[in-house]
Amino acid sequence: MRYFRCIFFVTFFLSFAHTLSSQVPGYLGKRTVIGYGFNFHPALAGFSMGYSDNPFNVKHEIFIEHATRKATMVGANVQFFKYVYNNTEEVDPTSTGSYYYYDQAGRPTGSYEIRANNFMFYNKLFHRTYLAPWGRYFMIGAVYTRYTAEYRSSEMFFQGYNSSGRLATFSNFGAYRQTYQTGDIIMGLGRSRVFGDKIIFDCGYNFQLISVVKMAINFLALGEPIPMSTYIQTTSSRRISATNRFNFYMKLGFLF
Amino acid sequence: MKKKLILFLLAGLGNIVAQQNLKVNYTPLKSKGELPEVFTQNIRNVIKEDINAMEKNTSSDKKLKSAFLTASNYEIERIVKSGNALVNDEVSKYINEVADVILRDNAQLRKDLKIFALKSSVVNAHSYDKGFIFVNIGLIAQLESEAQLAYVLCHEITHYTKRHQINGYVEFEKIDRMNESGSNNEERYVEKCQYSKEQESEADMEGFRLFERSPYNLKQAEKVFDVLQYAHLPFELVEFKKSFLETPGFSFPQSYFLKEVSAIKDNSNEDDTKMTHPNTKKRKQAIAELVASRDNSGRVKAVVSQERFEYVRDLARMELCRLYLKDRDYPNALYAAYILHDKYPDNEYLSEVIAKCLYSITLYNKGEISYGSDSYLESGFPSYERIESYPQQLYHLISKMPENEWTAVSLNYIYRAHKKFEGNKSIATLTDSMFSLMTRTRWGVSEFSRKLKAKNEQALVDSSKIKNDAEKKESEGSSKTDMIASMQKEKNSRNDDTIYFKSIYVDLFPDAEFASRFPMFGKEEEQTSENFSVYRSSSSKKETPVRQPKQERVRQTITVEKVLLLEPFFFVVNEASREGIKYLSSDEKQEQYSELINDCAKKLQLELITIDPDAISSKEVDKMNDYSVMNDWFEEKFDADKEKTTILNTNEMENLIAKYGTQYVLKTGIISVTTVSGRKRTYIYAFLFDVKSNELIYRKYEYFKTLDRRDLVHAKAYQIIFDIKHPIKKMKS
Repeated sequence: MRYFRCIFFVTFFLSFAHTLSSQVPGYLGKRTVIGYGFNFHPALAGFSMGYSDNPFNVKHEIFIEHATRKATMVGANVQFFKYVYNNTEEVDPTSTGSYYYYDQAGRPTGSYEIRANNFMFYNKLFHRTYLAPWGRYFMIGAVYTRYTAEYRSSEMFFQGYNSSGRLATFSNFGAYRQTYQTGDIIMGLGRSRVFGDKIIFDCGYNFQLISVVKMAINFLALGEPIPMSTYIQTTSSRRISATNRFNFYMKLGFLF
Repeated sequence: MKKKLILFLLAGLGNIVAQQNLKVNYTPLKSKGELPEVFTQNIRNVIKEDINAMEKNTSSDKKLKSAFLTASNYEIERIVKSGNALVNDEVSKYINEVADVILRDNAQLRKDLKIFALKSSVVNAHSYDKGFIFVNIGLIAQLESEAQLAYVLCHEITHYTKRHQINGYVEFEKIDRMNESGSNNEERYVEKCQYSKEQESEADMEGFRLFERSPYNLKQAEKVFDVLQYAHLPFELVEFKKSFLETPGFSFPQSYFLKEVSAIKDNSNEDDTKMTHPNTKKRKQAIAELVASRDNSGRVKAVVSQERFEYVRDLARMELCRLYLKDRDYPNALYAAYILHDKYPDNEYLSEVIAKCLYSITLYNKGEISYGSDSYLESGFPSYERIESYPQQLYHLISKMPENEWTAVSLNYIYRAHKKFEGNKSIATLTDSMFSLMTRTRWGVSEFSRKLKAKNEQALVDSSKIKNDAEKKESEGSSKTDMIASMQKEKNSRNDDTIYFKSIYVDLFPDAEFASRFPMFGKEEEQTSENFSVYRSSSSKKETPVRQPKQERVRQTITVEKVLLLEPFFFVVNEASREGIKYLSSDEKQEQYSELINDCAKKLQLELITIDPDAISSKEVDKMNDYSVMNDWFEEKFDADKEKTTILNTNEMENLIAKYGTQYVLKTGIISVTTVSGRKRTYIYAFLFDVKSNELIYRKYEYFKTLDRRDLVHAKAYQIIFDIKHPIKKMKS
């Protein structure tokens, strides 16, 4: 994690360092944008398989961007998203320590909630004929993600026969609130337009490299029972990767 | 009565006082006084009014006529504001006075007409349905009498009164539509030409009826067609004598001159099927029949004044030299100046024109002047074989004379002109440049004789005798068309020359200045002067590959504080629509773009002076003249295909640099195109020129696959000004 934090801050400082020696026209001299962004991608497969009640993964963000060179911007944003996971993965019964039927795995009941924040620093590199913050660009940056999974043992549990042959309820998935963090590299392509010389509309798509790789690995492990103690960690990490891997976005900002 | 007489005398005196003394010098034609309404009106409102009026009075072809009114109003505006239309100058005033004579019984029609002289070398005049008549300088230079000018005006007035332009437009569109699937393009073109010829014949005949109501000599109407017939030839046909460039110590070898020049072809009866005008034979015949049936007694060649006509024509001829120079048509400019030089041997301007032509031909021979695709001389000077009559001699000389000899001859003429007009900065600069070019011939003092040989002295006497005889003969000259009739009888009486060209500077070497500046053989001394860079061409630099110290090789930066913005440009084109150009939208956007550039400059604290004919008030005639000078400079520049080709129109540009306090001129524009397939394209360009050093110092040319959206235009306009405001790295030549 320390490694990701390092990349994160180096990117941030390098982005600003080159402003010192450059000429920056901006858009009519305006170089900074603050605004709100809406990220989404269709999650139809997950929706049909029952992972989620929502056919779209949605993230909201607030951002600030600043033109540091003629065709370069640095930006930072905070993204928020919430996800209710419907426990579609199975628990490895042996991990309970007292399970009777060793060959029978099962899904926990109910669902649990994931709340996540992405903190992102990025550079927008504009096509040479455009001027930051207006025009077509390629973006690249570092993402630091912090997410919390929270479950209620009264709602999320796993039932089975224990070693004494009695029906028992297993609900110990670890702490009720579990917090994790991860890092990623983001890349994307977009295009921004300016309306009335003040309002900026930015749209495009991006993907996070590590999440894409993780998704591929997770796909191979799909269906394998997960030990109870790591059930939330594993499934929440998968959902975070699935949500972050690829997104379309639309942003509305104020230019000044 | 007394008052009238005094006023008349005062007006006459005013004309005399205002006249230029062509014996001494010539100042290029300029607009004067207050600019008429057409310069200041809002074209969009004018079009709206015209269309409303048309819709009230017409029942058919409303759509076509609306399109015509839009297009023709813009065309008029484009011509008027091109900087080439002259207002209240001596030539325009005179043309208007002739029009007053023709229409003295028709005050209303006279009031409707707005007549301008147009700075164009093309032998033509044209009119528009709104009463605008433009008479080209090239035509005035060719005319032989005031009466001929009057007939040309009558012809153009008839086009106006008969509404030929709008009727032609509607008819042409109908031909296109009716035959869209049937006939091919050629058939359609022939059909259009037929219609156009009918209109021209009508203008000839009706024009004659108007002309005969005036006191002008009717025969002159017939002679106009002779003028048109030989319009491709110079305004006078005078033998180009080798003695013109010869000096006491120098005479051309006979082989450089043709023994006989080619005859003038008679193509008056050419096939006119694919021409918009009937051939001149038919036109002349039709008018001759009318003239024969009328009483021509008591009619005169000039009503305003024959002297005035000749004076105005000489002004036009002087201006024509400048227009040829602007078009980089040096042989034509040289020949025109040569003809005039005979009448005005002490005219400084003519010596300057000749010096510029000789210098430019020297560069042309060295391959340092070549023509861009916009120039009618794209493939270079025409071969002498294609030239008719006396000018052929000059073209022959240019093609036969070796490059170095031409350089020596040019220096000879230019240095003498410099000594004659020592205060002339332009000739002085040319002299500097010529010494430099002489250095590059690798001919030093030892190559040239310092003393005249006895044998040559005799030849010198002979040569000056020939010169005097020829001059005597020429002074008996007559008009160009009479000359053509008699020229075939002339015999070539030139004597063979024996004087070797190396004695060319024999009388100049005693001149201390000449001797000190003449290149020393073996010493590759580069002659320099403060103004030298004005005329220096890029390739002259290439020949001295002196390796500069490392520090100096770092690209220099230029800081620009003040810029002249020359007519920002916006053009909206829809290739899919019949009209093509979206005039109204173009005009509106051009206005906005100009404002935007100014706003950006204000924001970035760049001092910007806009010279835009679309934003000129009626009292800013000087600005219009300045615009014209700059436009000429750029036309000359863009005619060449080499970036640093010599610009000869610098005298006036230097005045403008001093007047506006900057040498940086910005030209910027946007072209927005919707292609036939519906694709959108926006082209943006901006060029910043240092007109003092003839250098392009900033260039932006970009295109976007989108329409001219507001954010695109605003971002780019700001960027252009931003880039200029900040130190610009000098472009590599």
